[in-house]
Amino acid sequence: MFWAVFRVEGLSLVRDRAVWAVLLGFALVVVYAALSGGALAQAERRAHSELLTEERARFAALQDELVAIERGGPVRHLTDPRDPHIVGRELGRRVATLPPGPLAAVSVGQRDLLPTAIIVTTEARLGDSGADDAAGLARRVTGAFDLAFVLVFLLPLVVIALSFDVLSAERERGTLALVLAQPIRLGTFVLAKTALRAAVLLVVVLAAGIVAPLVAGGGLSGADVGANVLGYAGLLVGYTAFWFCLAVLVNAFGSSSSGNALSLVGVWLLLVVVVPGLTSVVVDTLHPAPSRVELVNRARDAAREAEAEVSELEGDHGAAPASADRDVARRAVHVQGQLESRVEPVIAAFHAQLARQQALVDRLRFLSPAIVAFEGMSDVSGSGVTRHQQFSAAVSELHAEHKRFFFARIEQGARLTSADYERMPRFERREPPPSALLWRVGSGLLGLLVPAGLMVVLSLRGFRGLLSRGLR
Amino acid sequence: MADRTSQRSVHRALILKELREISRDGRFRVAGAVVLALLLATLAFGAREQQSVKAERAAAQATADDHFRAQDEKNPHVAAHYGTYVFKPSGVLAFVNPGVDAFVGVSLKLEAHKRNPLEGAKARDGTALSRFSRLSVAQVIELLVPLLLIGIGFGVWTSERERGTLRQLASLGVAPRALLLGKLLGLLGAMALLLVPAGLLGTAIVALLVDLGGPGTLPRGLALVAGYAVYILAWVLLTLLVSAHASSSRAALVTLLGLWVVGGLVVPRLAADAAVAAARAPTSARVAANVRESLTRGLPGGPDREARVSELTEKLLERHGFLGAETLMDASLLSGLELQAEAAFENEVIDHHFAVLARALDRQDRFLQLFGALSPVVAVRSLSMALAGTDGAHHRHFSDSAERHRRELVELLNTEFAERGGALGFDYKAGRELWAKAPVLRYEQPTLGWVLGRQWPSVALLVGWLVLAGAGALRAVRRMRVV
Amino acid sequence: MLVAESLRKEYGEVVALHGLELAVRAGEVFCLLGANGAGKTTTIQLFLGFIAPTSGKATIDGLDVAERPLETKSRIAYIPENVMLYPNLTGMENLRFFTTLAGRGELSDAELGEMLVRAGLARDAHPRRVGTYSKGMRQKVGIAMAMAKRAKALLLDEPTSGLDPKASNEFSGLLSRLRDDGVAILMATHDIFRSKEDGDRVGIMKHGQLVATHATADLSHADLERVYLEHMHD
Repeated sequence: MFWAVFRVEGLSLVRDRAVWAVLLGFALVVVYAALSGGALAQAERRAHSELLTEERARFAALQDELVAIERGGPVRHLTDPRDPHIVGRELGRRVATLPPGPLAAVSVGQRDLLPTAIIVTTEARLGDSGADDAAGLARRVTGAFDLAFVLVFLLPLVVIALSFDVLSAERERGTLALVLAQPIRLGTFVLAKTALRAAVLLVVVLAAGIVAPLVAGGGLSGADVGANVLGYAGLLVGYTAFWFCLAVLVNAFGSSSSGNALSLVGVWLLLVVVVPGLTSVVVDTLHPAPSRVELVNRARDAAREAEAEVSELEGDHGAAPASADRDVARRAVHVQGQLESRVEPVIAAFHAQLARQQALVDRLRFLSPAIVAFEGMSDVSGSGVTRHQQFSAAVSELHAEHKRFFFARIEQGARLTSADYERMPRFERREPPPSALLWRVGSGLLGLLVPAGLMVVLSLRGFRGLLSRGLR
Repeated sequence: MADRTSQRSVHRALILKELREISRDGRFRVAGAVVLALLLATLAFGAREQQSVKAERAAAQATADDHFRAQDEKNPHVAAHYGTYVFKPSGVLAFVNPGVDAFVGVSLKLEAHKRNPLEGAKARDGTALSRFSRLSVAQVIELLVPLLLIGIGFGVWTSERERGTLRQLASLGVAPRALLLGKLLGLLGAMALLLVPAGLLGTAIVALLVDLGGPGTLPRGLALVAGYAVYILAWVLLTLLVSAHASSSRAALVTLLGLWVVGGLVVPRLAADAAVAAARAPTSARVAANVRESLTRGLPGGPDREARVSELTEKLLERHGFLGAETLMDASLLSGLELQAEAAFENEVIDHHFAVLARALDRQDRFLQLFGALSPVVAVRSLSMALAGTDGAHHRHFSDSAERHRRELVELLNTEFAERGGALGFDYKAGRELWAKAPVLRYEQPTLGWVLGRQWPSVALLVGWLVLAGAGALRAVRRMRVV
Repeated sequence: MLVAESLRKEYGEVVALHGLELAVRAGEVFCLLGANGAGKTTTIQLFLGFIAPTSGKATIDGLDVAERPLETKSRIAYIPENVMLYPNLTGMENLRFFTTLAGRGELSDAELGEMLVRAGLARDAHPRRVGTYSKGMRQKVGIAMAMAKRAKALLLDEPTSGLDPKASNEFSGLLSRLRDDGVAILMATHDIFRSKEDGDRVGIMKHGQLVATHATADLSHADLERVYLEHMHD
C-alpha cells in the first residue's frame, strides 16, 4: 500500500518539470557553496603552511647562525641568536595554527571572525588581532555563501516548495475523494507521499552535500573524518525530516495550498530568522560581553606607568640599542609583567563571559531547529566557537611557557645555547575526542527528531479531525 | 466635466474596495501587527543601543584625551610613541541600519611610525548566533515588508478571476488602468498603515533622543526614506505584475515567494561572495606585511629606506637653511628633522599600500552594486548602508581621517622637539602645555553628494526596478485574461 | 448489501439526514432523486465513511462503516460527479495505482487494458496522460476502477451530469453489466429518465428524509415525473 503510493508519487514527480528545476537548481547551489567554502579552506591551509614554513626556516637560520658564532663568527647585535630578549620577543616567535577541519568547506562559522593563526612572542597578548580585515568585510557582513547557509536557510524552503501542497493539492484537484474511497488510511497516504519527496531530496542533499565539501575542502586526509561525516549526515537527515514533518502538520490542518505555503514560509521566518535573532538578544542581555572600548582605557589606566616606560624604551632612539643592555631587557620584562597582571583579569572576563554565552546558547538552541543545525554544522566542520576557545586556551598555555622559558634566561643574564633551542616550547594542538563531537551533535539531533516525531503524532490526529469534518 | 467626476468616483470606489478587502483580511491583520511590532521594537532597540554606544565612545574618547594630556614631562617623540587612542563615533542614522558596525573595529591607537588597524569588532565577542542576522529596522523593511506584501497581494488579480468578479468588473467597462490604480493605491495604503507610524517614530527618535549630529543628517534621512519608498513601490508593482500574469493564485504565490527567496536571500550572499572572490583585495595581514617590507627595503621600484630618508632629510634641511651645515645645528633640531623625514617616508609607504587596498575595495564595492541588477534588495541595502553611514566606505573614511589626525599629532610633536629642544636632543622634555596643544579629532561624516557619487549605480538600478515593474504591471494588466 | 439504519447526520443546528432507513440488495440498482441539499450526497458520504454519522449506522456487507472503515472500503467503489485523476499519469497508470490501493495486488498491463476496454475507453487513449482526457473518458476510467476492484457495491454521485447523451447511454450499459454481475448500486442523480431506465427502485429524498420509494417497473416515465414533482411541491 505504502509502496504503491510511493511509486506513483515518484512517477508524478519525475514528470513534473518544476520539481526537476528546483532539485537541479538546489544541487547547483550546494555545489557552488561547497566550492566556495572549499576555496576558503584551501586558502587558509596555504596561509598556514606559509607561516609554518617560514617558522621552520627562521629557526634553522637562527641555529645556523648560533653555530657560526660559537665557532667564532661575527655577532650582529640586533639579530643575536643568543640573546633571549631578542629571540623571545621577535626572532623566535612561534606560530600556532588551527587548521580547517575535514569538513571545513561546510561552514565558515567563526573562522572569518576569530584568528586561526596566532603568533606567540614574549609580548603581552592583549586580544589577538588579525581577523578584522577589510578585504572580506562585505562577505562577513552578509554572511558567507557556504553550505551552512544553503542548508540551514535554503534547504527548508526547498522542502516547503516540494511539500506545501502534499495533501491540499489532492483535495483541490479532487483526487483525494477517489483515493479515500480505497481501503487506505489518510495518514499512510500522506506519509508515503511525503516520504518519497524526502527520499528524493535527501539523495540530492546527501550526495552533493557530503561529497562536494569533502572534495572541495581537501580534508579527506584528516584523521577523524568518520565521526565528522557521521554527525553531519545525521544533521542533514534530522533537519530535512523536521521540515517535512512540519509541512505534513500544516497540511493536516486542511487549509488551501496557498494558505499552506504562506503558513510554512511564516513558520520558516519565525524559526530561521526571528527566533535566532531574539535568542541572540536574550543571550547578549543576560551575559553582555564586556566592552572592548572600555578595555582599551582600562588597560591604559591600569598600566599607565608601565606603558609609559615601554614607550620610553621604544621612543628613545638616541639611546644605545636596547638589546645590548641587559638592564633594559630586565626592565622591559618587569614592565610587561605589570601590564599583563593588570590587564589579564579584564581579558579573562571576556573569555568567561563568552563561555557563559555559549553555555546558554547550547541550552537555548533547542528553541529553533535552525540554531541546532547551524551550531552542529559549525561543530562538524571544526569552525565552531568551542574549538576556537580550546585553541585560544592552548595558545595561552604556549604563551605562558614561552615567557617562562625566555624570562628565566633574561633574569639569569644567560645566553641561549644550541641545547636551549632544542628545548624551546612549541605549539601542540589538542583536538577534542570524536566522542565529544558526537555527543554534542547527537544531543542537537534529538532536538530535531523529537519535535519532528511530535509533529507526526499531531498530524495523524489532525488527519482524523480532517476526516470528521468531511472532505468536500 | 461630469465624466471626470464620475471617473474620480470610480477610482475612489476601487481604492476603497481594495483597502477594505485588505484590512478585513485576517492574515493581513495578524502579519501586519507582527511586522509593525517588529518595526517599532527594532527602532526602539536600535536607538537605545546607539545611545549607549555613543555615550560610551564619547566617554572613552574623553578619557583617552585626558590620558594624553596628563602625561608626565617627557620628550615629545616619546609622547608620540605613547600615543593616544581614538574611538569611532557612531553615525546618527546607524540605528536604522547597523551595517558593518558589528564587524569592524571601533578603536585604534595613534602612535609614531605605525598606522594601526581598528580593533575590537563586536562580533568577535559573541557566539555563532551573531551569524544569524540581528534584526534591524533595515532588515524588517528590506525583507519582511515585501514578504507581507506578497502575502496580502499575490491574489489581487488571480482571486478576482477565480471568484469571477473580474468578469463582472470588465463587463461594467472599468478601464484596466483604473483597476491597476485602485489595486496599487490599495496595497500602498495598507503598507502606509504600517510604515507611517514607524516613520514618525523614527523621526521622533532622531529629533528627540539623538541630537541632530551635524547638517548632514537631514538630507541623508530624507534620501533614506525616499530610497525605501522607491523600493517598496517597486515590490508593490512587482506583486501586481506577477499576480496579473499568473494562471492561478497558487502559481502567483509560488512565483512571488521564489522571487523573494532568490532576491532576498540568495543573490545578496552570492553578490558578497562573488565580489570578494572577484575583486581580490589584500588582507590586512598582507597589507601590514607589505608595509613592513617596504619600510625596510623602500617602495617597490623606488630607492631604499636609507636613501629615501636622507633625501627627505636633505629637503627639510634645505628648507631650514642648514643644508651642508649640519654640524652647526642643535642636536634636537637635527634629530627632530630626521624624525620628520622618517615620518614622511613612512607615510609615503603607508599611503602607497593603503591606496592599493582602497582601489581594490572600491572595485569590490562597484562589483557588488552591479548585483543590484539581479535583485532590488542588493541595491537598496547598499544604498541604505551608505546613507546610514555604516558601509565599508564610511569605515575607511573614518580610518583615513584618523590617519590624517595621527600625522598631524606626530608632526606637531616632532616639530616641537626640533624647534624647542635646543642642544638637549633626546634629553629634552616637554610638559603639559604641549600636550594641551594636541589636536582633538573632530570626525565629520562625508556629505550626501559624496555618498551618491559612490552609490549612483545602486540608485540607478533601484529606479530601474521601479520603472520596469511599473511598465510590466501596466502591460500585464492590459493583456490580462478576464476568465 | 448496503443498509442504512436510522442513519442521522447533523451539522450543528442543521439536520442533513433524519434517520434514514434504506437497503440495497446485491444485483439491484437504487436511484436517489431529490433537490440539491436533500441529503443524497450526505448519504453516499456516510456509506464511504468520509463523514461520521451523528447516530444510527451505515453497513456494507453487514460491516459498520464507522467501525471498520478499511474493510468496508475494500468492498465498495465510488464514482463522483467528476472522476478526478492524476493529470501527469496515463489512464493506465492511474488505474494501476488505484487498483493497487484497492488491495487487488499487481495486475498486468494486459489485464488493466482489458478493463479499460470493457469500460469503453479506446486503446489509443490508454498510454496518454489523463490531463488530455475529456470528462466522459475520466468517468470510464472510474468504471474500470470499479470493475478491477471487483466491488460488491457501487456508490455513484451524479455520475452522468454533464455527459453528452451518447456517453450517458454508454454509461448506463456499463451499469447494467455490473448489476448483472451482482453488484449493489446506489446512485444519486437528477436524471428522472435515467432513473427509470437504469434503476430497479427509485427513492425520493426531501429535507433529509426518504419520502417515497417506488419500483420502476410499476411506473412509466410520465408517472415517475409526476410523483417526483408532487413531492417537490407543498
